[in-house]
Amino acid sequence: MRIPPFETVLTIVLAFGFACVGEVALGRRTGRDVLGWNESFLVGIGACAAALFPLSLVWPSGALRLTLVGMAGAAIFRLTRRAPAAAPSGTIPVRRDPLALSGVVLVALAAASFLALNFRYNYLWDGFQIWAARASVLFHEGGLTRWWFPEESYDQRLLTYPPMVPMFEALVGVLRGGFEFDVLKPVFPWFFVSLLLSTYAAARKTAGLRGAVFATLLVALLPPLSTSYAAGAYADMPQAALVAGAVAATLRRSRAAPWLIGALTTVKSEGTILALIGVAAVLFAWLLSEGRRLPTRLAAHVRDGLIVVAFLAIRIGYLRWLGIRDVVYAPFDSAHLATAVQRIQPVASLCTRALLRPADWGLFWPAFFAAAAVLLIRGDAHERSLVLFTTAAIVVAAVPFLFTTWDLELHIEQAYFRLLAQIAPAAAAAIAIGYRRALGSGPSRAAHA
Amino acid sequence: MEDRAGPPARPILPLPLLRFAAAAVLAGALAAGGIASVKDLTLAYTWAGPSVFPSTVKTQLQTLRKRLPVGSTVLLVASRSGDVSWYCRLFQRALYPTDVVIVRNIPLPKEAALRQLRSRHGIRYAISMGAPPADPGFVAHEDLGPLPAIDDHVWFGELAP
Repeated sequence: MRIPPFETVLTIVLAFGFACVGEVALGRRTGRDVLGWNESFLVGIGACAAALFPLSLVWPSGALRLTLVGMAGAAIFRLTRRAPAAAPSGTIPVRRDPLALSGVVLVALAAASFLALNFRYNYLWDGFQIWAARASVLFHEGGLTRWWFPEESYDQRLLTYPPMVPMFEALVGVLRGGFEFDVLKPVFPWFFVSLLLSTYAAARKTAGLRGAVFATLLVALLPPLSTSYAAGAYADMPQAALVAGAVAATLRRSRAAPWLIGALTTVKSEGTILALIGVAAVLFAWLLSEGRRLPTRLAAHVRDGLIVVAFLAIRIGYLRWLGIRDVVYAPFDSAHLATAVQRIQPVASLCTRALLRPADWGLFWPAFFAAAAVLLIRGDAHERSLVLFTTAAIVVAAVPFLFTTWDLELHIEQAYFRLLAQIAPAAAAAIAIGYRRALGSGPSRAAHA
Repeated sequence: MEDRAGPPARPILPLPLLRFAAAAVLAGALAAGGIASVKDLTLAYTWAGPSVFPSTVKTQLQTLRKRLPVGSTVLLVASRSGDVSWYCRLFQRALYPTDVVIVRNIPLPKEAALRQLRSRHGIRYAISMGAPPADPGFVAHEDLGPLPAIDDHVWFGELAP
């Protein structure tokens, strides 16, 4: 494959359109703030992906075009509002810190390597057979449908996958006036850059400049997020970008947080579980920080809660509308529960092996567990919640394997590291923040008591 | 963007040990990322073609598009071996939306079930992939040549009424 210049320009237009939708949803107008733009992009693309199902019910063959109309309207709204005065920058310029600068250079090299791979690699299996194929159906049908390529029932389950990545790919087709499999790769660098920016944003406030660059570098270098499947057009890296965005927004107390937690449901099926874990993490942090004020806090965040509920309701509504059972997992009955209990030990063993494989992770996960221990002792409520619920996500990601109908070892080998990759940005932020706390900076438990 | 003011605490471990741990994590990340990137870049720049559809497959698809009446529903019979499942879906996705391809793996359904499938979808043509491809009941078939990098061939033909 090669870089398709025209379609690359089209993705710039679309990314701007998504960011404008995000700006409207958040009721703001971002100036020269790349992190703010990144947040708006994620909110906008999440909102558009979620809206695709209701729009498909309203106008089955015109939902994609309606999405484009909405994006155009948001762009007009955004362009006709005054920009705020530029906020004074509180960050230390990177050029004054040689160590941070070296880190930024390494991040840029890792990003260049991803770009070189992304535009050269062909699609790997899911990238073509699932995601790009869904984009093709979406483009030709005009909206989400119950139709899938006919075969022996197994692949029907692919219809249940959420639409964010196929929607972005299909919109490229709409703007260029025809669908072409070979020109869709320019959508992925947007997710990769967003992943890096969000990871930086998640760590920046607490871990400082060096710590934030360090966290970003860790994520940029992770093979599951920067090579093979990520370059082969899988949706795990985009899912990781949304996780990074949700973690950053939550730690920065941004009003984008409920949008980004909800938007986790729009990339991959497991995103719904991640969204629920995100909600639990926020509630737990509130409980830890000011438990007595929890009811007041809940009342003050009703609107935020409704945003998350709306995303979840759309996801559940879509699955019910399809009515397709996933044959990869056994039903939740007593016989299969007994099998699942017997599988706990082998699943734990195989997943631990996948978690510690140096070729995939280096020392990433051992570093996360060390940072988790530090943050449980010295972190504030949000940091403790971050590590507890990232750990919970690591465990929860292994649970479906207890019910798999595939060969257990093969399924874990092929899937678990990709699930871990999705939550890696949260772990990277925790590593950087944990290191800062280990050095002796910031709040301790005593300070919060 | 400044750090929150908090009471200064002592380092949790001696500073040299913490710095060594951070350096080890960074070195591990550089090693894992570097090795994987070099390996994948070598693979991609040695083998990846300009399109997801190899030139042989493009030629086979062009032939199929010429032979098939627009709007056909086609039966694609696939052997279960190796990369055929990739190619049968590649053909299926490429011919959509002009023609709908229904994939069935070998062993084929019993004759009655196959007839029912054909009458339900108005199937008159079939593609078969395998080494050699199975005959789902061709009147005559045309060999469209081998699939890239594997021994399997592609046959195409009209099915007996």
